Amino acid sequence: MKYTNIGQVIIMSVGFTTLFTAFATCQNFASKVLSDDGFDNIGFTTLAVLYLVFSLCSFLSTAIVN
Amino acid sequence: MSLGGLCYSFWIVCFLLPSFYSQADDRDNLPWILNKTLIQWLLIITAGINGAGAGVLWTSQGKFISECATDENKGIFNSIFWAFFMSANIIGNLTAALVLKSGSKQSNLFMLFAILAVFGSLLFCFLRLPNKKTGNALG
Repeated sequence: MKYTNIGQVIIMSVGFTTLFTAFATCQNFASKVLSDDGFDNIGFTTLAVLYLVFSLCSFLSTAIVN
Repeated sequence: MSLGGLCYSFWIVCFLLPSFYSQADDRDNLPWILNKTLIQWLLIITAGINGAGAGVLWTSQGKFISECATDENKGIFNSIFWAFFMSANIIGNLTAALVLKSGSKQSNLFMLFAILAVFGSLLFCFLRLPNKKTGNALG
């Protein structure tokens, strides 16, 4: 079994790790922190909008990637 | 498969966009001194852009891994990726707990995360085309 491109995969995985270290934690914090700061339920709304656009754009993103 | 050469230059540019937008999404939590309705609309709009970028990001991630791997080692490449990715949750929540426990402000935490997101997105610049020695690389 040869691992020819494993360096590329590890670079991309480290990139995803640092990016989603930030993103996943902010996502956990979003609704609590925003309601603490005086915005009522906007954390839930922004997360809903985010995943709505995510799911819709997943259909279109194949054309963009290719 | 060799037409992937042109695909990837576009594709890495597409890779950069969602990372910067997720960083912008974090940054909007900071200035609560500013106008409140402006911040609310900015949050919703940047969340939409972030979601659009995330779709491109995940699709290109699957394409990249499946182009790197051969039929024998596509399982271990995906498991390496998911191991790194799930450790992001552990590291992120632990740092958040430590930073907030040490008594510093929320804005410092979000600054740290914005820097981390920019750094992670810049790492995608260094990705190159996977070299293919075997013929059927797309798993």
